[in-house]
Amino acid sequence: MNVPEPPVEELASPTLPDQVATFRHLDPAAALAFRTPLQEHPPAADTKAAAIITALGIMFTMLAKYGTHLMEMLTGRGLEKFLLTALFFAFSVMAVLSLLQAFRTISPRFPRSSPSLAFFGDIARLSREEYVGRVRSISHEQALEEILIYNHNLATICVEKFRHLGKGVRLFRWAFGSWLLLMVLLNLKVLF
Amino acid sequence: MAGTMGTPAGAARLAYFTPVREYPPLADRKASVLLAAYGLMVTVLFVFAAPTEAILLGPRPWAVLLMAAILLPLSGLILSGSWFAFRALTRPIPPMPESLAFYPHIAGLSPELYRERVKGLDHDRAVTAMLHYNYSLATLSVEKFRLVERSIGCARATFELWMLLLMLVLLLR
Repeated sequence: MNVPEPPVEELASPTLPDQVATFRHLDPAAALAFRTPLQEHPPAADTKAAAIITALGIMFTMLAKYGTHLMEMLTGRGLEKFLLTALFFAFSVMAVLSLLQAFRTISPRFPRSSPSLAFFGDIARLSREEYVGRVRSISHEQALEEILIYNHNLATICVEKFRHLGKGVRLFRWAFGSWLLLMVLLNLKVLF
Repeated sequence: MAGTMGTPAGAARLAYFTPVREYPPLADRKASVLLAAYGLMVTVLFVFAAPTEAILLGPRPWAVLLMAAILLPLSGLILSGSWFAFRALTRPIPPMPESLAFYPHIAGLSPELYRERVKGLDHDRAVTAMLHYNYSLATLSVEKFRLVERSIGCARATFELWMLLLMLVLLLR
């Protein structure tokens, strides 16, 4: 891409603190590609997955507190036994599946794609001299290409993470509902 | 000041540098802290489960009524407060028109098509993509903070009732 040299008086004009010095001569593709807001989404998914894991930890601990009463009711008789068994089974399955999805959200993943000089894994594969040399000799067009590869990869990772998280949240809701009913029944048993 | 493009440079500068990205994670952190606080309060209540149970099954009807009058609203507040915090944490980004700044729209294209679309952008469309993203993130932040504020309201009332309950358990056991 041939970018015309800016007039000298424009180069000498003052720039504001938030302004990239070359902005007036930056092409629109580069303006968007280099500022596509993607970095904040993977940590956001991880935070939510961590909250699910923490909440399930608290729920298991609280249920364990009622271990004796729970065993009594599970080995009891009649409707109570079947209701408790169904709820306990539903909670265990949903909780374990939700936990699995939360861990899948957190697990690092690097989909296969063309190497990019914007990705840490590909940077680290080069020697320091090679990396510095390659970036210093890169053209604007090549730099744009590198960041586009990176953006597409990160967007794919985000979609994958949020897909697992979405499943985890849905399962967690069901697990929470079963847990709440279990706790109500256990408390009623303890009190009456 | 107009730049070399159709969109004024001021608009482009504001679109690319509007500080909206940090607010959803900020609301997420607050929601996580609230969930942790609710979890801690419930765990402490469970430590005192045995004396609470003894009071509720005890011979003093006024003590049973008093405990029930605190326990019932406390349970409701804990549940609704946790629900608000959980909803704040899991709120999705509101839908937006096709934008090359939004990750599901990027991931929905093949790498080749994405490259082609970005390279075919003019400043107006690039800035519009950013503005759509900014707007959706701003509305998401408002929704998240509204839920966090509700959860904080519940947490305040929960904390007062929780303290009262613990004092009563210590005095009446």
